[in-house]
Amino acid sequence: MINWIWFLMIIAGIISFLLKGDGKGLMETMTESAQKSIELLIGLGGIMAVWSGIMKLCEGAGIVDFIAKVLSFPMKLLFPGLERKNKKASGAIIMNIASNMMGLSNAATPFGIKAMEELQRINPDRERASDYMVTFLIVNAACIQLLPTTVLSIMSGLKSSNPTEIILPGVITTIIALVSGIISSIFLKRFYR
Amino acid sequence: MGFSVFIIPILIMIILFTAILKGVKVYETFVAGAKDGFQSVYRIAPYLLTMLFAIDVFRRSGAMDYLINIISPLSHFLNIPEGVIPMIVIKPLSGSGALGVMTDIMKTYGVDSIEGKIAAVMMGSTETIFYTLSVYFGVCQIKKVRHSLPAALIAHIAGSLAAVYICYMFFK
Repeated sequence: MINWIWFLMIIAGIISFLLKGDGKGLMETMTESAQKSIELLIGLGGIMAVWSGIMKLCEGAGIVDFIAKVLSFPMKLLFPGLERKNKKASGAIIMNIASNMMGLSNAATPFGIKAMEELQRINPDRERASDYMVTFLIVNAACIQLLPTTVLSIMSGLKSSNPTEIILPGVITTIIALVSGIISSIFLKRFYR
Repeated sequence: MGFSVFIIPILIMIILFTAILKGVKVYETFVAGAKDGFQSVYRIAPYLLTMLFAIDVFRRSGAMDYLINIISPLSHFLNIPEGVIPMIVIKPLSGSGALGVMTDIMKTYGVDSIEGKIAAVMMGSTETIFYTLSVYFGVCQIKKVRHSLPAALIAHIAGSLAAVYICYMFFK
């Protein structure tokens, strides 16, 4: 599926360039996109290293276990039996969710990657995504943000009368997105082996 | 807004104090973590570049604008303000792009307009699915992603519709 989407995005892009009569556009975009990716990766490398360091400190200090206790109920609901099978995986998932909740997306990515690596360790088929992985991806696609810091700062920059009033609708919206994602994954599961 | 600036410094202070009180070797532990971080970035690099390439070609060529034009008539049918359609299309593809579109909507319609509020709620409610999917599955070399993409897209669409109707309930 991802192969087809990737293919279609590029083909649709090339056709649109040609329709506009823009012969140079593709070459320019290719160069710029590659440059931008490397800049992004260099920036990401630094910040990921810092947050992974903090993650290790949290593990060592027992902070992960503490947050795990707070979030144990939703975790049991979403990832039944995971804590028994791989404690490190559930710890990383918890830190990922916690940083998303606080709007720290830079911190969420390293925790998320760590979680996927740990989930891969208990995956029976190494080329096929496990149910835990799919659920984790959906949780990430619809992550609850209690403090969408970037959005709030842009809104106050544009002189909004009360930026914080979007927080509650945002939380409700995310819960709806999450629940529909989880329910649809239960139904879709049987069509994808 | 004011207090959120202090969350990170306070958080990191708590983490450091807890670690040192529990006898964790803070410096060495941090270095071990940083090593993991660099290794992860090294591994996700090709996946990130490949996905961003397709997304950039799709956006810059104007193909995305065609897609928005195709979807726009649906907005009347579903009672969605036409101004927020670009937001629904770009959000799964690009986080920075979505932030740009949101700012643009707020400047065009006003930051306190219903369009602006809906865009803000959408921005905070779902993640950039394609990026997350390629990076997360890329890092552990998963080839069969199974139903993760359709389920995540359903979550995105449900979230987008919910953003519109919930904003109507709250702000109209």
